[in-house]
Amino acid sequence: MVKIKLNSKLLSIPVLLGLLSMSPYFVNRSYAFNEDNIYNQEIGSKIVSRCDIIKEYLSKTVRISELAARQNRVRGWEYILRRLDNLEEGYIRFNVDHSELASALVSLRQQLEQFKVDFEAYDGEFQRLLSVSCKLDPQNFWKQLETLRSFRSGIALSAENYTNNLNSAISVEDKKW
Amino acid sequence: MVKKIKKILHKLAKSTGIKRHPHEHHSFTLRRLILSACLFSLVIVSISSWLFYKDPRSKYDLVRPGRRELPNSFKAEEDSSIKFESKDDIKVEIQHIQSQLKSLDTYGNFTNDALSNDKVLQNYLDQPVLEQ
Repeated sequence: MVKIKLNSKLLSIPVLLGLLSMSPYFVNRSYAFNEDNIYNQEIGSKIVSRCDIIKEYLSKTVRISELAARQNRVRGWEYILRRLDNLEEGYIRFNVDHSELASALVSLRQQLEQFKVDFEAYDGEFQRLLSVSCKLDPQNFWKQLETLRSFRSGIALSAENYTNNLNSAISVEDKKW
Repeated sequence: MVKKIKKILHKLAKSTGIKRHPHEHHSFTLRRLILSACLFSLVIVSISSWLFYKDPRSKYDLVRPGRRELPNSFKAEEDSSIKFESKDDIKVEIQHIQSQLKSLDTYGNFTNDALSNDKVLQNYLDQPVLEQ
């Protein structure tokens, strides 16, 4: 019994030492990760000096391409939902239960509306960012950019989840035939 | 006062072409055509503005030239009901829908690094320019 206790203690020492030696690596990594996004003098001066280019890039490149991406996504999803609606006739003809698909479509349409609402909120944040003066208030501009980034990751996640849900609903129906 | 207003309105009607001048013999004068074109464009603008403001989301559905648009395969047959002759037809249709869903990824997503520090701060401008 004493032997086992001693062994476990002996084993725990290198494990602890190993963890201690690795901790600076994790601390540095997390620090380095946050450091990039923390507002500092260098970022501030870049924002002020490149204000016009930054605003043009955000408004004419990013925003327009994201509006187009949203448009394509929503149109594509709506088209797929309509195609799935059209399957009803076939289900009735071959006596296959359609209720599961019908309820999945109701849920998917609600999720699509939610995506549209989420995108509106994201676009609202985008407009707010563009309304902030990057020459006079670079710190606020950076803060608003950080907010926009978090909204953007939410939109990306929402789009991915929607695609996955739509895909799983189609897979369920595929297995019935 | 009323007489004065009437006179001004009469003058305005003549100058804009609503009222015909004594020397004008045709009912379709250039001034009248320009006026009707202006009125027509005003009607078009007001209808489209009403459609735009009726739904705040309509701005998201505007056509953006130069951007990658969905191919016609996403628009074709969207309203026509497909006839399913056999169970295989339905299976093929479901698989077709699934493949279309997968292809949607190529028409824009939100996962790229468009808002990264490098891109937003235009860090490419810090790179030294190679002398020729």
